[in-house]
Amino acid sequence: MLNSSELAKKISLGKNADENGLSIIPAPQVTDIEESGESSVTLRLGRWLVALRQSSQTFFDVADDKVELRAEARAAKFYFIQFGNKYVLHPNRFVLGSTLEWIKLPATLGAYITGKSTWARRGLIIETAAGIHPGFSGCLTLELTNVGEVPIIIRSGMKICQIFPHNVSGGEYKSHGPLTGRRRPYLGAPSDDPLYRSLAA
Amino acid sequence: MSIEFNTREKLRAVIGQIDRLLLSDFPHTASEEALKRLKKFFEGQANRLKRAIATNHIPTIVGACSTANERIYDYLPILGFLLRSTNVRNSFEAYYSLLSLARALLGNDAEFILSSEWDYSPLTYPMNVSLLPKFVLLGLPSSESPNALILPLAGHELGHSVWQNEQLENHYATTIEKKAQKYMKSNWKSFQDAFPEHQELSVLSDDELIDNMFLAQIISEISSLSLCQIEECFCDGIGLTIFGSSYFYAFHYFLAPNFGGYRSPDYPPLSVRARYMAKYGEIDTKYIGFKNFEKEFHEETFKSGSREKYILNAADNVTNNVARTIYRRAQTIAKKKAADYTPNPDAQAHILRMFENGIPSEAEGSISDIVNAGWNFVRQNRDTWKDADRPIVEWVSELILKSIEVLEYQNEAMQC
Repeated sequence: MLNSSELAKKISLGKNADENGLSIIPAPQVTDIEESGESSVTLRLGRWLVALRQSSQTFFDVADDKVELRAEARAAKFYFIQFGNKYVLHPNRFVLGSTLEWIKLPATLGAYITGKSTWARRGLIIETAAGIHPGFSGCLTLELTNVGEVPIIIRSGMKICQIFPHNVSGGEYKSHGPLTGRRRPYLGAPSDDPLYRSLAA
Repeated sequence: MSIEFNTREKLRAVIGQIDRLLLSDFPHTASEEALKRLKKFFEGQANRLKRAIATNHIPTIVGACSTANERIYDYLPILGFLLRSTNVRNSFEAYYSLLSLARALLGNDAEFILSSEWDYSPLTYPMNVSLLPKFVLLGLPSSESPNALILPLAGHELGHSVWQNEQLENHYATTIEKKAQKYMKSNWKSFQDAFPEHQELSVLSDDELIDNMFLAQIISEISSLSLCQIEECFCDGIGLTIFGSSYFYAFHYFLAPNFGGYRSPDYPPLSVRARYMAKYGEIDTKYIGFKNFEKEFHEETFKSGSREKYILNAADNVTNNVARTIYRRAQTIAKKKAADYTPNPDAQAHILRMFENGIPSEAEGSISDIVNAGWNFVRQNRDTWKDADRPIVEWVSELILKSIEVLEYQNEAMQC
């Protein structure tokens, strides 16, 4: 992992569109990170949410073809929440959110995203697919689930998660192109899996 | 069934519909506020009808029913507009910047509603909805809602509100009428060709032109058309001054070569609008990539009778006479009231550098700088772009809208 000083340097570079820097837009206060001594950057909740609503859809099958993906998209309902406005996440409910910040990792950095302990202790799970690959560019999609017993109010603009960037040995390979980024939560399509297809045939 | 029964039920249905609309998820408060005002109005209409029925006076009842019908007819499209303003297809991130721009141009009490239309044309109700006098209602075509590159067209639509707010129709009405009279006198042969049945008339004095009912009517029609046309020129001037070169690109994207069919008499021909933009817009069109901007537009000549043709030619001529003045007026107003929103080349260059690196910009410049950088990104990359990866317009729209959102966030954060 990067210490707070290295992290601050990477963020400063990224602010000026240096391709070796860690771009976080809007950028956190670099001095705050340096002074905190922490190895993470706290991120805020963006304004778009996607809820998968109940419908005639009987199940999701991500291994199925694109017709199924369209059906998934039909079940997705978008919400736009103004800064400070609330959305109530009831027990056992799930909603996709995204970070307010747009992140771009250089080829030399990967990162892990985790929730904030204050939320976790109240039953709010932030993210389960926690790896962020080098070269990623976009707002991070969050999988918000209330596993507690009490409804939780979430508000756009509030602190929601943190990323822990770390160095990547070599640092040449980009697993994502620069064009994958989105500003809204994204359900996404599974990547093609020829091996599975031949196994299933 | 009596007309009062029917009218009462129709009003009840409208109020019920508004109640249901009020249950929507409103991304911005202005739509909700507008709906509440409309609800209050229709409740007032229902009470008025009730009082009219109590009088047992048939003309009073008929009058109340007629007014209620008229208001339902007038405002139902507005309800549809407000409903569409809640649809998540809209680029809500642009709202704050457009509201700020509207307030700079129109005053701090201006309200703004961004919606989408199922007509392929940007639409505005420029503060002319009598129940919503301070509301600018702007709808962009639904198929283009996610396309941030067409946001400069909002500059044109805001121009209609500025035109109304500054009472420019009244200001220019006399000038236009005088120019119409002058056109008629100096092109008398054209008049005689268009109206052979009035061969007995001769070139008249200004007073006689006014006193002659037939000629006064023709002049009035010329003036009306020309006023509509110069309002459109004024709006182009506002859009150009605020958004700079991106207004050219958005105009071209949206309108070139034409929409098919004939030109609308209420607008100068597209190629003429393009010529005015290139001539009076204070932007070198060759530098921004157009060899001849005017020739990008091809519109069929208006086919009509000799009367309509004469009136349209006269209106075009009058508009041509004042186009430069109108552009100057638009530029003066926009620069005076919304200087912070006019293009800043340094900010655009910085934002473009961020876009080239695949990231949005941070609190640099204004909405116009962000959109200008977006168009420059498209121009620089379109020939080598692989659309199979992702369409360039979709990608750059993500960057533009996120940059605009960050602008809003930073402004909010600064106030903390």
